[in-house]
Amino acid sequence: MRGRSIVLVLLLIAASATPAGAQQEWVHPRDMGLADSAFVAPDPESLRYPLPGGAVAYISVDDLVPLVRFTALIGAGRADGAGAAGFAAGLRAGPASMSSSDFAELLAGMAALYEVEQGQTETRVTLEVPSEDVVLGLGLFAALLRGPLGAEAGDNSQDTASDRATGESGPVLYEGSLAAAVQLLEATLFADHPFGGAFDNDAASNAVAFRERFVVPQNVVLAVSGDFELATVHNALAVVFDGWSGEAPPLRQHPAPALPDARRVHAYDVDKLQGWVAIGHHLPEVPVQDEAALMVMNYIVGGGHFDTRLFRATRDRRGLTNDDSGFPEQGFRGPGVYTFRTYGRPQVVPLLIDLTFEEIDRIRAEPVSDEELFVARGALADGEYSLWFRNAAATTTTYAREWLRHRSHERSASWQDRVRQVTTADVLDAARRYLHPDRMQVVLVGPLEAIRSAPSLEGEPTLGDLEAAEH
Amino acid sequence: MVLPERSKYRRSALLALTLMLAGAAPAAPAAIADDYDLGVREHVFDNGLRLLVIERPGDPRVACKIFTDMGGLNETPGQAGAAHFLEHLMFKGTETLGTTDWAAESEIVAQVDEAEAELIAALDAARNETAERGVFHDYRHAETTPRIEAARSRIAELESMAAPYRDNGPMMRWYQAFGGTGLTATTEQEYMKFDINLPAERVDLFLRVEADRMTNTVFREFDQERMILVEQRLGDLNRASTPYTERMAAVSGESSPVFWPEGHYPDDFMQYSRAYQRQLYERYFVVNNTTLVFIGGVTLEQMIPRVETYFGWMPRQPEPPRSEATEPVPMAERRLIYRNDELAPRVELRHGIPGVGHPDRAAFDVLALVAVPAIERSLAAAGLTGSVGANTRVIHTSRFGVPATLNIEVLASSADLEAVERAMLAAIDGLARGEIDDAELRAAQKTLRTQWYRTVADADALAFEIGHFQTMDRWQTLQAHLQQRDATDVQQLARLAGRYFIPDNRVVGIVRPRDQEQGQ
Repeated sequence: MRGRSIVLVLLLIAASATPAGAQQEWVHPRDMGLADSAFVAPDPESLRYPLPGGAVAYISVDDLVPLVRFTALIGAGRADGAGAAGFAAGLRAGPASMSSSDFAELLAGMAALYEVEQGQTETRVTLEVPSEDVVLGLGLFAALLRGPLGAEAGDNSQDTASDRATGESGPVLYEGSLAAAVQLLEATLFADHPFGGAFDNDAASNAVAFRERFVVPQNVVLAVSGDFELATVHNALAVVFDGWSGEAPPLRQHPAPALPDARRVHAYDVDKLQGWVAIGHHLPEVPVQDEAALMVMNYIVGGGHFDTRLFRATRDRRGLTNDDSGFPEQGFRGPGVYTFRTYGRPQVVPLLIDLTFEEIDRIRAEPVSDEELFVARGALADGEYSLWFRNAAATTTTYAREWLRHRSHERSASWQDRVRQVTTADVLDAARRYLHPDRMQVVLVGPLEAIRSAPSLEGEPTLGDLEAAEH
Repeated sequence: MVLPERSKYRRSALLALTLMLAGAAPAAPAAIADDYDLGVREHVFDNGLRLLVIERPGDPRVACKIFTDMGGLNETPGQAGAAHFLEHLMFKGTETLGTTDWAAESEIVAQVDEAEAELIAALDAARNETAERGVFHDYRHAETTPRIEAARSRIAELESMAAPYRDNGPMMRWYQAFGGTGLTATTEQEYMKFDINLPAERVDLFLRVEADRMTNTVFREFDQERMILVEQRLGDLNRASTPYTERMAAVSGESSPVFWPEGHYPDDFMQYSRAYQRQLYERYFVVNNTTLVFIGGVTLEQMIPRVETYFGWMPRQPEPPRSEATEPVPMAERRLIYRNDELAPRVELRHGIPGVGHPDRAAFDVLALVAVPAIERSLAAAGLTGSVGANTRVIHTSRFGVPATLNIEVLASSADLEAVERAMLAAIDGLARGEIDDAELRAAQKTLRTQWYRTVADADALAFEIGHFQTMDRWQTLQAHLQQRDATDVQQLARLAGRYFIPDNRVVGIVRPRDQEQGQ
C-alpha cells in the first residue's frame, strides 16, 4: 500500500514537472469553437442631424481624446465640369479672408489635420482640431465651404502622369511606387472620357461657379465626431449654416466607355531597379446584388492581404515580388477601375505578368474551394465591416458617404448578410462578369532593356512576345 | 529678442465668424487624463512573460500585439537584415499550421538542415576562393566550387520534395477568417512585433497562433523568402534619398549597430542561413523576452488565465544576450558630401542625442519642432529660402533606447549651400543662447500633445507605443516621456542646445549636384 502511494506521489510530481509544452495540444483554429462576432453597427438614425436647407450631418460624440473632426462630402468631382480642380486648389489654399501662408499658420497653430481629396465625382474636405479649438475649427470649416474661395482658386498647377510620360521617347517621372503605373493605366482607359484625368487649369471664375453649383445643401453631407458637447455643436452648426440654400444640381451620370478591343502592353522606360506593372480595365457600376460576390471573388484572388492566390503564386512559392494584388474600385455615377498591381526585379517582370493573368483565368474557370469561401466571407463580414465603424470618425464618415450616394442605409445594414450568403457559383459568376483578361491593358514602368532581355523562366512569354501579341 | 510679427489671421473675416460662435461653451474635458495616465494594467507571469492591458469597456474589438526584445541590434556583421528575415520566416507556418503532413515534411526538413550544414562547411572550406578581394565589390578568385554547387543542388532538390506538403498562408488565413484586421509584423533595430485586431470574443485565436509561432516555427521556402527581402531592399534603393540617408547614418555612429542599414550590401542577403536564423529564433523568442499588449474590450482578469493556458507552460530560458556596443564620446565634427543630380540640394545637421530613458531625451522632441521656425527666421534674415524639417529618424525608426541623432535639414532654394549652413548654425547657436519664442514653444508642445491624442484614439497605434517603450526601456517611461515634453521650458531647451549642438557632436551633410564644384 505504502509502495503504491509512493508511486502515485512520484507520478504526480512527474506530471507536474513535465513541461506542459510536451502536452500542448494545438487545436486547429477552425476547431477552437470561437464565438460568433457580437459586433453591431451603430444605428445611423441616432446620429443623423438635419441642417438648414435640407442638408444632413452625422454627429457622434467620442470623448476618448480631446479632438474634433469635421468632414464634408460633396457630390461633385473632377469629372463634373470646368472649375473642379480650381475649386479643390482653392480649398487647399484656404478661405479668401486670409493668405494661404496665414491659413497654413492658422492650421499649424491648432495642430490641425486638413485634407482635400477630389475624386471623379466626389470631393472630400476633412479638418481635425483639438477640442479646445472646436469653435475656431468649425468657423474655419464653414468659411471654407461657404465663404469666398482663396486667391489660389483656379491656380491649379497639378499635372498628370500622362503629361509626364513620354513613353520610350523620353523620361517618365518615376515615383518609386505603383502610383505612376496606375495613373498611366487610368489615363489609357479613360483617354476620351470625362474620367480621363484631364486636370483643368481653370480661371478662378470657373472654380467659383463650380462651388456655387455643387456646394449646396442637397449635395453635401457632413460628418462631425469627437469630444464636444452635443448641444454646442448643434447650436454652432445652426449658426454657421444659417441661410444655406441652393438648388440641387441635376444628377450627372457618366456612362462607361467601351472595353478595349484587345489586350495591349504600354511600356514606359525608367532607369530603376524594378519594373512596376498595372493591369486592368474599367469596372462598370456594380449593382447591389453583385457587390458582395465581387468583393469575395477579389478577396480570394488578390484582396490586398497575405493569403491570396496571387500572393501564393508569385510571392510565397516563387519569391518574385513583395506584392501582387487586385483592386476593384467602384465608381459612383460612373465607371470605376479594376486593376491588378505588382512589381519586381527586371528578370521576373514577364513571369509576374504571366502569373497574374494565369490566376485571373483560373478564378474565371473553376469554382473556389469551400475553405477559400469560408475565409473570405469571414474576413469581409466580420473584419472589413468592423473597420467601417471602428471609431466615431469612421462611423460618421461611412454613413455620410452612404447617404450622399444612395440616400439610404440599406447597403451597410445588409452587407454582412449579403456577404455570408455568397456561394461558389456567385463567385464564379462575378469573376466571369467583371474580369475580362483579354481586354485588359498592361502598363509597365521600368528598365525596359533589362526586362526585354530577361530570358523566359518558366516558359512564359517574354515582354517582346507580349508586345507582339494582341489578344 | 525681436521676432517677426505674428500671423495676421486674427484680423481676418474669420474672426467675425468665430466671435459669432463664441457664445458656445467650450468642449468638456476629454476622458484622457492631463497627466497621461493611460491606465495600463500589468501582470508578469512566473516564467517572465509580461502582459499589459488597457481596458476599454464596451469596445467590441481588441488590438493585440506580441513584442520580442530583439531586432537589428542583435545581428552579426555581414548578416544585416537577418532579424527582419526571421520575421518573414515566422509567417511560413508551424508544425501544425502550414503543412499537409508534418510527419512526412519533417523528415525532409531535417535533411535540408543537414544539406545546409554541408553547404556552410563547403563555403568555409572555400573561404579564400569565394571571399571578396576588391574594394568595389568586384573580385574574388572564384565564384563557387563543385562542392558548394553540389550542396546547393541538394538543398534545391529537397525543397522541391517538400513543396507538395506546404500549405501557404496559414499564419494569416485564420485571423482573417475570424474577423482579424490590421494583420502585420514589423522588425526594427530594437524589436520585432506581430499584431492583429480581433473581435473581443475571439482573442484566444491570437494566443493560440502566437504561442505556436513563438515555439514551433518551421522555416519553409527559405530561398524564395530571401528574394522578397531583396525586392524590399530594391524598393528602398529606388528612392534617390536612400543611399544618402544611409551614408549619413554610417557617418553619425561609430560602434552601435543602430546606425547600420538593413541589407548593408547585397551579399548580406546571400549569407543568411537556416542555422543562423534558428540560432536567433531559439535565443530570443523565449517567454521571458516577450511582452503581450492588449487594448480594447477585455480585462486583465480575463486575460491572465487565457494567457496562462497558451504561454504558461513555456519555461523561462536564459536571458538573451544584448548588444553591448556603446557609442564613444563624440570627439570630432564629421562632414559628408553627397554628389547627386536627383536629390534636391540640401544641408543637414545631425547631432547625437541620448536614448529613451535618459532624462534629456523627451525634450529633444520639443527642440526639434522649435528649431524649425528658428532656422526659417535665420534663413530669411540672410536672404535665403528653403524648406526646413527636423526629425530624430535613423534608418526607419524615430526613437531608440540607445543613442541616435536629431536631424535638421534644409532643402535649399539657393545654390549657396555654405550660406545656408551658416544660417543654420547661427540659428542653433541662438537656441543655445535661449532665443526661443515662448509662443513657438507652446505651439510645439501643443503639436506633440495633439499627435499623442491621435495615437491614443487608435488602439493599434497606442498598443505599439506601449510595446515599443517596453523594448526600448520600460513601458512606464512612456508616461514620463509625455509629461516631460509638456514640462520643457526655454531654459531647458537652451541647456540642451548648448550641450548637444556642439561641433564635436555634429555631422554635416551636404547634397549638391555632381557638376557643382565644392564651395560654389
